[in-house]
Amino acid sequence: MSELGELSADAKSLVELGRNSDGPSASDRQRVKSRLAAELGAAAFVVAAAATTTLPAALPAAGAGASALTAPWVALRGLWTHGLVKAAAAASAVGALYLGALTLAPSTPRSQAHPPKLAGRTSAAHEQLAVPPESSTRSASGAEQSATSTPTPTPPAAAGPAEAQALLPAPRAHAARARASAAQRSSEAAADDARVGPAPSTLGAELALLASAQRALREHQPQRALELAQQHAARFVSGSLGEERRGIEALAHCQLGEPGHATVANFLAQAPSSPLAARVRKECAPR
Amino acid sequence: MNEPGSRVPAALRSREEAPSAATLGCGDGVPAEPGLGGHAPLSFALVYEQHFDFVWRSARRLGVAEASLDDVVQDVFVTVYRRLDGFEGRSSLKTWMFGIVRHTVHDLRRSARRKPTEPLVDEPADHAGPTPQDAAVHGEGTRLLHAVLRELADDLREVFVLSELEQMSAPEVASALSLNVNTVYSRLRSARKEFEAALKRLRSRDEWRSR
Repeated sequence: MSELGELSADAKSLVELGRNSDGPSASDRQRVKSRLAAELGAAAFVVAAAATTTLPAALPAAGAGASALTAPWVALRGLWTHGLVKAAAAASAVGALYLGALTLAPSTPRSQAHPPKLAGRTSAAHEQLAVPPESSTRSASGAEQSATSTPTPTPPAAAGPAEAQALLPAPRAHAARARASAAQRSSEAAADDARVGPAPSTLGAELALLASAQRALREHQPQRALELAQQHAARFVSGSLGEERRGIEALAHCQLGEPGHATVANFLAQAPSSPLAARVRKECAPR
Repeated sequence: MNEPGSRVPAALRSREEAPSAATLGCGDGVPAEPGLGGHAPLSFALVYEQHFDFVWRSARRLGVAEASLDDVVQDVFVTVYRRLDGFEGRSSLKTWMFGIVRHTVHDLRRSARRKPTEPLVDEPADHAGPTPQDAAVHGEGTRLLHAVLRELADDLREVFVLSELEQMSAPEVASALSLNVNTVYSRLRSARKEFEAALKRLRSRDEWRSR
């Protein structure tokens, strides 16, 4: 390194490589978008103008966008080629109908979607929450406080990262709100499903249930995840996402400290090449 | 920067002279929409399309493990979705979003520390080398880059990522990290030194292992 702090040629070439080849793949984009659509509702990805589109125009648009925008059956982590293949036949028609319905439905404004956050918004509240992030990250008590504090109502008009940091919810509060939001969205999605017929209803409900189970895993609530998976098994005996459910069950047993549970071995035996299988192997590995 | 101009890295110096759009408005390719105060709510869908790649690679470069990357990026965009109405364009949308990425990653680290059995954030390379799968998926060069980045202290890594990899100007980096520009330059110099040292160290270790 020179006196001016320039990088060496070796480091520069590595940086250059990173600039050009460090992005997500198309499947990464698709997967996360599907998950977001499941959590926020597909309407989040519908441009406002589309809400006024008439039926003949909306359906083709929805069909074209089904793979690019929502594809709700791929909303679960790592998903799971096997599930995709099984759902593929139904997916194109279902996705078109599902997204078409969402496109036609007026999209819920974000501000209306979370009325509690708008209520009681004051600059004083914002100032109180505008704690520099580093102080909270470096202090155990700060971390605890952050983890248990009530989320802030709304974003203020501040600029830059300070704005973002001040507005960000504590992780657990965030998760709780995400759950509440997801539940609300799920019921909205169920209503949408009911309007467009049985196929999307089944797939959407399957998805919503497993997405909830997935969230439970993320929040280290394996028992809850198992309950949801069992609900899925009872409601969708021949559902399209059975493999995904079994993967979730296996992961839940791993979180419960039961890596030797038959569910784990069965899942790995039945779906050894599932992307979830890699995660199961990793999380169930002896530590 | 108060230091002599000759000590300002050339890349930053040139960009610093013309920060305009990216630092003053929404920038980042997302068109500002007219409205109250000249800035109506942005379309989440458009923001997602324009910034997904940036959020993804930023989270990864800040050390989020592959297994947690989807979750982190999803959390970032959930936050963006909820907060976008409040974004008033006083900073670049990109730097605003980086603040959210950064905070989400910090939260993840805290969570991982409380639950040490959950490896949500990549360990330093000394403790957990990249898996063969990582290498296969991302290529040897990218693997090495991430391994080197993991060796940097958090505050230096953030500056390095934004400046060297995202090629942001010093004022943009300062805005994204709530620092003054002098601190950005100072950290960038330190980050480059650490980067060089870590790169040498990792290369030496790889050579030793391959003997």
